[in-house]
Amino acid sequence: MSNRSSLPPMDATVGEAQQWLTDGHCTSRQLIDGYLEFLQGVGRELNAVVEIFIESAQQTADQSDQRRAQGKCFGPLDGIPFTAKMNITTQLGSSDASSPMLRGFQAQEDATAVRRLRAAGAVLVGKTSCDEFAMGASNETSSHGVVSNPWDRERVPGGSSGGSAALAGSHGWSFHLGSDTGGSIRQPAAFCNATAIKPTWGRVSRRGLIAFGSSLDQICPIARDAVDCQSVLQVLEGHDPLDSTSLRLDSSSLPPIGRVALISDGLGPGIDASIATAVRSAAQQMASQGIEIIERSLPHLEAANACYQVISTAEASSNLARYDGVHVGVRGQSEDLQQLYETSRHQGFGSEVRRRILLGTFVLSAGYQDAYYNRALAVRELIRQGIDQVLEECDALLLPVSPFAPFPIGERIDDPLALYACDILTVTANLAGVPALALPCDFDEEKLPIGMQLMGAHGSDHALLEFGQRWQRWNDKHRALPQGSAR
Amino acid sequence: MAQDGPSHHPRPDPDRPVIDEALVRKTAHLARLEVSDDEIPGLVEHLEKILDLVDTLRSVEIPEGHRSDLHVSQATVSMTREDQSATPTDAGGPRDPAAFGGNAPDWRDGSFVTPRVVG
Repeated sequence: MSNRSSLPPMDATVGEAQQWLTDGHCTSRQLIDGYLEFLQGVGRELNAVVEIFIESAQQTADQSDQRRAQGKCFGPLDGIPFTAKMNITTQLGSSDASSPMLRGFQAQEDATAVRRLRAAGAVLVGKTSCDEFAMGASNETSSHGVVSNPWDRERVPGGSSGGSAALAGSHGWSFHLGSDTGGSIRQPAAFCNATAIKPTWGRVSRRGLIAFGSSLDQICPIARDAVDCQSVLQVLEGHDPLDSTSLRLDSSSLPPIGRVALISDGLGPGIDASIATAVRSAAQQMASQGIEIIERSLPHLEAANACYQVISTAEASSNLARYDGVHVGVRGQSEDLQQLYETSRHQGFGSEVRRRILLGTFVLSAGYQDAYYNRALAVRELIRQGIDQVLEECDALLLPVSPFAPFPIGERIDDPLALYACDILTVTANLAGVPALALPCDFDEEKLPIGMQLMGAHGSDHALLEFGQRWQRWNDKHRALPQGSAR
Repeated sequence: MAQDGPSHHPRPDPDRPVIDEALVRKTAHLARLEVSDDEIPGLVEHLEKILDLVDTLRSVEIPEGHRSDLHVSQATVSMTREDQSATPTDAGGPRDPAAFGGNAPDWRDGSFVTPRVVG
């Protein structure tokens, strides 16, 4: 058993835990054993973690300790625990995208993101629950059951990266890989008081990410603070020969952010008053630190959600066509091939996934493609231009992440449109392909976390993260942990 | 078969398609999705509601000569790469076909099994 007094404080970031290891206060093996204990306790209670890799994690930690003893530590993530969302492939365990369709699916290889992290010495400790094929905003469509929000276990953790966020919001020392197609890393981060970035589209290889909407999807880090997110992004980013859409972006930072546009449309009707107030106060706090704040409107914010519904479901209907009952997954019973496809897909997909495939097929079908899909593409380009227009006057856009606070489990699941409303402030960044950083902002009267996001220009990921680090020196809300998350 | 959508969804736009059982069944067939009879009313209602939301796209004015074929990625990247052979130990390298069979619901003699489609 590890000597607990030698472990870092529970709210310690990855950076602080790494310093703890460097200073010799504990070994990576002790850190990993402590974290595994948390996963098996609170992680299981929250139903955030689906699989835990005890033996492999311990062996990897021992190897890290040996490297450290020889003075050959690989860097800031060596010996640090991390998890991957169920829609990110790993050789260890299964990668089922929380869908009955892929139950027990064994990936042939690690996603490039996972491979790069393991090569940097990070220790894969488990797989986290998510909405089925990452389609959801509450983690209630997961085949592994509902995940609880650590700040109020009767409420949802957000989605689709709900498991990742529930862990990041409950305990330090670690980071988590999630994904974001329309807000799936930022909204859960906001709901659970974690920090996360949706990188510029193409900054991180999508190789090994089980596809939902390919022109929107990104693998994303979620952690305790912006320093940790940046350390992880520096390992993940860069061109990958196995994903020809991954970009060769300069990882050096742009000039620091000095002028921020508060987006007034994100503070008006339909947005909880407590959230609008908190984000306005954050802008004032930035202003008091010398940041110039201007207020602007973001063109087409309302149409963005409609645009997202069309494009994401169209891409999903195409991406999920591969699940046919023959190559992988669930197989229905039929002697007729056509019927075999239909019955297998009926059995393997949950109702939300089927609704989205149906809509996506409809907007692409003959007679309707121009009116829906092609029009959405045209609006998408206008949305991108609208962001560029605002960015001509500032370095970043500031707006809330979610229009409302974490809601009770079951409250919205029977009303798909009420769930889609979760995405209205986040989809814009995916449609435009620009980076967006979610930061803890404040707590409401019920002690539920409120998050805000900063959206920047294409490729400005590191400028956003550096601004996030400055923000977290001015405001320490990100350090808060919920009661009851102790091991 | 109902030709009208649910009454609480007025349909102001004459271009708006009629969402009914026939359209849902046709689309489900294109999507290779089985739908049971009792799912139809819910799917009709859902499509009606989501198209109400999607119709906000029609209010956006698209400028003359606007391009909609631009990709979200603004960087100019070469999508091609050197054609190099890879070994089984390389990421993305060749894999033992049997390993793929391990994830298949029916895999026999190195092949995926389907119902008979010819003769």
